[in-house]
Amino acid sequence: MEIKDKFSELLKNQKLVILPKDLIVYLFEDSAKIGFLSGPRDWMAREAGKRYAQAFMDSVGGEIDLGEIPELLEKIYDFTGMGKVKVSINGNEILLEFLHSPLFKSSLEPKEILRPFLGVVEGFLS
Amino acid sequence: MKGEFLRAYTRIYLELEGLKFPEVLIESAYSNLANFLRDIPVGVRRIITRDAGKKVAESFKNFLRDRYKITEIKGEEVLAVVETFFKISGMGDVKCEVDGDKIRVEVKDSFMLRANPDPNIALGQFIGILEGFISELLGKEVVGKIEGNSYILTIK
Repeated sequence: MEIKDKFSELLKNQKLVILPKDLIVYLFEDSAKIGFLSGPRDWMAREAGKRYAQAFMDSVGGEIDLGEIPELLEKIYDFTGMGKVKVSINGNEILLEFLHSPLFKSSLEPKEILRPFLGVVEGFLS
Repeated sequence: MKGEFLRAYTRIYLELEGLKFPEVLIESAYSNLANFLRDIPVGVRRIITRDAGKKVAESFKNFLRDRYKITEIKGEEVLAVVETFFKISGMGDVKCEVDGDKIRVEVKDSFMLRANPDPNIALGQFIGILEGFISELLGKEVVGKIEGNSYILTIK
């Protein structure tokens, strides 16, 4: 099964939640401003990413090759509207570069506004 | 009639301005957050979320004004918007009613309810967003509390 077919399979079996971009941006900004603890936040994000990966693996009924990860992540980001990303693998590192994202409209620096989603990717890939 | 149009415009707004996440991811994050913050009073939690709700309503009002020349949303119409927002966003099915200066938003079905058996914990993370959203739409401040599976919002 090609990755686009695996992704289609995932979408067929998923309910979606559609949240306005502004809600995500301002929730993250406000929680960052009041200093919401990054440890618990990253843990929650990782757990959510793992749950998503489990749903994905269940929907495609098997394993995924490391080489398929870049295309899969690019498709997921594109579909969600979280932005255009370019993903590459270099040895034991996976580089996920944001070409653009609606989150960049935030007044926070990109590394701050993207940080809460790092845990999701970590959990998903783990 | 305007209520029906507003339902359609709300759907279009979410299609254009929404980010799409799998429910399993949002449910997991929401559930962990709700249970992590369970001992923090609702009043403190709403500080984080109320402003975000207002910003979304502001963005929605700008959308209505720019695309459809709608500059005002009246009391009853707010209910249509809220119900549609919940339904189309996938946040759940709600039924809204006005009783005097109170708006009841009864949550019929939502992944939020699966976060915890106690509705105060399960629904508590969202109350600030709802307050901010409705306050900005009405142009009047509302303050909410949770009763059973319902948000009760009082217009000030």
